[in-house]
Amino acid sequence: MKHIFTRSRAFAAAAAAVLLLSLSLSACANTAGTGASGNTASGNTGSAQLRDTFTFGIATEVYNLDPFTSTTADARAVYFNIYEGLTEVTTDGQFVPCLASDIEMSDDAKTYTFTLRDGVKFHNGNDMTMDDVLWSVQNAIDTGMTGYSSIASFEALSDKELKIELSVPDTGFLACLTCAIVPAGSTDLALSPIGTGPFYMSDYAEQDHLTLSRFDDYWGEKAKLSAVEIRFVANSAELLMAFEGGTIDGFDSSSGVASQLDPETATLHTRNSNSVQLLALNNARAPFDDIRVRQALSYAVNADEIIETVDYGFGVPVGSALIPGLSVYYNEELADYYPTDADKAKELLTEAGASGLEFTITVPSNYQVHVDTAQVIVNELAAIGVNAKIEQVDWATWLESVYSGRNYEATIISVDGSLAYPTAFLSRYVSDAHNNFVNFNSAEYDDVYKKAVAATDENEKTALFKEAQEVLTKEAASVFIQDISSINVYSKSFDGFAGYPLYAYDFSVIYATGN
Amino acid sequence: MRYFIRKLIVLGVSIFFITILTFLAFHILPGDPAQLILGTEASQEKLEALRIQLGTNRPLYVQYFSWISGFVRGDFGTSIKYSRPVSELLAGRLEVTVLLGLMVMAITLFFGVILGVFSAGKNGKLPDDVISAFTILGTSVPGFFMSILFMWIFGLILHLFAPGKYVDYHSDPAGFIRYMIFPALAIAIPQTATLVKYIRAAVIDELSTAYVRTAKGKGVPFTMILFGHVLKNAIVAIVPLIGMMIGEIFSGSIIIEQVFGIPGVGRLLVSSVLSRDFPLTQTLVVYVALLIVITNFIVDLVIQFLDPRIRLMEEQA
Amino acid sequence: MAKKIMENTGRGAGHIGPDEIPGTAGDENPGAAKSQVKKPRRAPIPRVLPVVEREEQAKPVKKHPEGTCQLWLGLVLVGIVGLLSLISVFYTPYDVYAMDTASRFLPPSLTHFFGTDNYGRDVFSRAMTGAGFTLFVAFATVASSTLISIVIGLISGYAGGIVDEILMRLLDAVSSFPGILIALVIVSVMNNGKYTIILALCIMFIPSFSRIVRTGTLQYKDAGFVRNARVFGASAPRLLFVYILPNIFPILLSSVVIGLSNAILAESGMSYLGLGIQPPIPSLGRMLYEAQNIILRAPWCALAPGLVIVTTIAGFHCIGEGLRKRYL
Repeated sequence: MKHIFTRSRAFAAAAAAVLLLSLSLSACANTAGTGASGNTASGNTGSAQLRDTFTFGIATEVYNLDPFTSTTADARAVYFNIYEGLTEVTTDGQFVPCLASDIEMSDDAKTYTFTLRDGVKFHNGNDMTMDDVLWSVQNAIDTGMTGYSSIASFEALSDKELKIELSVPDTGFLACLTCAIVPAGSTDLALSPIGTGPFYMSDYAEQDHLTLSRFDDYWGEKAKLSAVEIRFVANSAELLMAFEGGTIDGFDSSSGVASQLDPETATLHTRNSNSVQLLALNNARAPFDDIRVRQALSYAVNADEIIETVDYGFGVPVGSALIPGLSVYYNEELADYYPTDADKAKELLTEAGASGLEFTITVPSNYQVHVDTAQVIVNELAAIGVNAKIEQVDWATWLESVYSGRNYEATIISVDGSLAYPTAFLSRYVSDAHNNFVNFNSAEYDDVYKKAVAATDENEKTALFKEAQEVLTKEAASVFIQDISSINVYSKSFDGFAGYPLYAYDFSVIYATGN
Repeated sequence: MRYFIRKLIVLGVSIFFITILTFLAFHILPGDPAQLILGTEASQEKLEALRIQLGTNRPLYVQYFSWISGFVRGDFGTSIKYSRPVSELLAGRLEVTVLLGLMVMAITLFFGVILGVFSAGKNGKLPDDVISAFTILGTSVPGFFMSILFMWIFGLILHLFAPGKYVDYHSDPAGFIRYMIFPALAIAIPQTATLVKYIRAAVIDELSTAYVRTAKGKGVPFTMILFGHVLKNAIVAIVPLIGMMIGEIFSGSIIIEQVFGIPGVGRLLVSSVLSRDFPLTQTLVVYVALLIVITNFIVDLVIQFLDPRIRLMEEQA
Repeated sequence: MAKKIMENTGRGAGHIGPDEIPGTAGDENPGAAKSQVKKPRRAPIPRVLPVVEREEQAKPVKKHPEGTCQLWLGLVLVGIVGLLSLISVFYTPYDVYAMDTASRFLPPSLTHFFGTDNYGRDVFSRAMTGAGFTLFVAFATVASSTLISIVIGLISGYAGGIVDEILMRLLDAVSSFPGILIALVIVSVMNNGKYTIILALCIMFIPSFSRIVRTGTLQYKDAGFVRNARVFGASAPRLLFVYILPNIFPILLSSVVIGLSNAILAESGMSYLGLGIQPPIPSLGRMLYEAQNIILRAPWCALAPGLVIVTTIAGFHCIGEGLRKRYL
């Protein structure tokens, strides 16, 4: 013990000198192409050489990269770089061919024919074949991926041509086909993911980091950096310290942390998280089964104040269950459907016989932004004489008691769409939807939603989706607050950013600036 | 020898009891590991399929028995969250936490003893007050906040280390120590403060005894008395405290490991509890308990070695 | 010399004492009696706190007994914090909960002594109220765990044998059981609130407190004055509470003081995991936790709760030290 101690003291004393030395060493060692961890000190010390690896910090942990079983938003955001589907989403929300070079849709929107792209290789070096595609589609059906339940049949017309028949017409089916194509018979994708994307996973250590390396046989435009190391950090305050100390070159930041950064040293890429933050009210519980109470709360909650306070002005008010990012379908008239009006709110409460209402907002404690929002809402509700109490629970408890068990009065959460398509956001409000955790129950809505999905005419479909949103807002299914911002912070040594209408990090476009 | 065997049996029983406690805790806590992996969008069928695959669809007591029967055979089961054998996950982690703990102990004992004795020697004078002030400050700052302050001051302002950039001890032992010195300090400071307080009290007590007066009367220099005789006796008094410190150092390291991004047992423990990873939590809890019980056992032996009275009693028992 | 050291180790051990002395079970065990080389700390007159021959007492009597000054300083410090938190029940300079986005991140000034936080709330007002909640949690935790520990420790130490073994193993298990698991379980059984935290902290504190009491009991149960009392027919509870317990107070006092500061720290540690006092109700620990995210921008948000914690803990330390010097 004594021995270690004297050693460590000596180090502490000599720390400055040793650190300088090691900094210059690691700056020299920057050429390593494998992207092994460690070469990422903010080493702009003298060397004009371009940095080839990028270290990105996130305040969560990604531990399962199987695209069929791991469907959490963080996992999807990371394996976006590893897997590709027959289609892909563009930054403006279009679905374009990806591993299929050509797609044909029949006029009744029930039959889709795909031509597979030539020269696509998997990370294991094998060519992508029809077998792999058929296996992946079957696997997606078996594991219940979104939208795959509407597939009636699928078959290979030739080595290169795949035909998929749907049981119901669906012009939005291409969105579902972003689901990964993996080698036939893959069993261990969770820890050794194999896809066709611009990066492959080269290293992983639990709770520490995950390294993505450039896939040199990629069929499309290759990634600009040789490797990206994703570091898992405990929370946002530590991300800030790690960034300022040069341990990470960029991070996914909360707006509170981002607002403290010096614009001289950091570039902020602001986008939306593409999720709807809402004060979910349990429609099956008194007094929230009374529409007037729900409307009263909608009048009392001031989304602009929440955005200003909690999201430092970066977020976007929604007023609807859909994100503004899906601009074609989003009903922008709803953003101000409930202007803040305390008197109106009180009036509605009195009418409903619920003045002096008291209830508990159950918030998942791992999401600081929701806890903060809850604080603002409690304050706003106090103005109309409503006494709300906050109760934090851990994420596992929230999922089981609140989300699955629906045993709560109110909660704050962001619901995101696994796909950049309205159904991903709106399907949960159908009365008997398995994920209808707000217990919303409206025959009118069920009807409109069903029609919208079935419509084959694009204009009609859009109009129906807008109508569905209006029903939700009018009935105040919950209080829809904002699309929270998601800020990617880069040091000045790197640039290149692509924002999608879904939660994803596109590392392939990042490049070193030479600063 | 009989004593040893008895201790071992008692140890086995306590460990068994701890596993039962963990089992009960998981029985009470809500949370479904399958849903944690799948996220909010999973369908019921998908959840059920994963539960079967993970084995979490079985009643918890069945999971407990399968874990414990494996444990006795040296098989710690498979982590639900990381889908890897628990033993693989643990490899390397225990060393990190133990090394951190040793560093904390070294710092605590060194400064605790020196400051404590010094402070007692200067009882009521200015240096004593200064050390008291340090003691108070040291026990006033919560661990997570101290860590953030350290990162800020030593990392960002003084550039003594790169915050969040943990160095593996295999590849670079010197770098490891250079990084770990700050988390170790963050845990050690409140511990040192507590130790100083106890040692100071013990030494002051000792100083008022007859033999010290005699020594003084004989003209033995004060420093000689202090470090030569008094300290030896005072240390006996604080050895038991070390047993308790082990527990506190470990619980302190849980939060510090999060903040500094150290891949130790504490960080894994928090993650396993939050993700309701039953086999992993069980194994970690047993590990930690063993660690604490064994150190306590060693402390007992040391006490007996240092204090003949207890050794006497032991022999008669 | 060797004998002297042996004799005096007992005195040293009197402060913390060995953690475990197996084999002290049998009361009539002649070995145990023989091994009790240590002379009793006090004369065989119960009820009065032990009088120890001290160097200080040889000095001429001062105007104020030793420690008075510290005691007063401690009382004043704790008094200030206590008074502020008491006032906060009736009056705070600003509303503790009212937010005002226009005036957030204001640095300390004459209007806002400790500035405002990210919601535009007055940090000073919140620290006043927060001190109240924190002190309540700390006192309640230490008081209840001390009471329970006294019972457990006395029984365990006095009864010895199998009872002692079982109790100690139980405490071992609890103390090596992760606190986060204890806290999560309690939160899921009860609702999240201040009583939940008190209960959780209490469970975490009992093992070490009990052990201290038990060690003390072991030291005194075979002391001459206790044996005398037993011979004169004193009942076990009387022996424990009248003869043994008062002798353990000095050790307990240090632990209580440290326990109070630990409780404050532990409460803020729980905030880190979202298990502490629920926002927007302020507690000092929670305020520190929230301040860490905005530390570069508004370091003063950490200053106010930090200062109050330091003052409180300093106050406790002074009181503890003062009491020790004056009465023990």
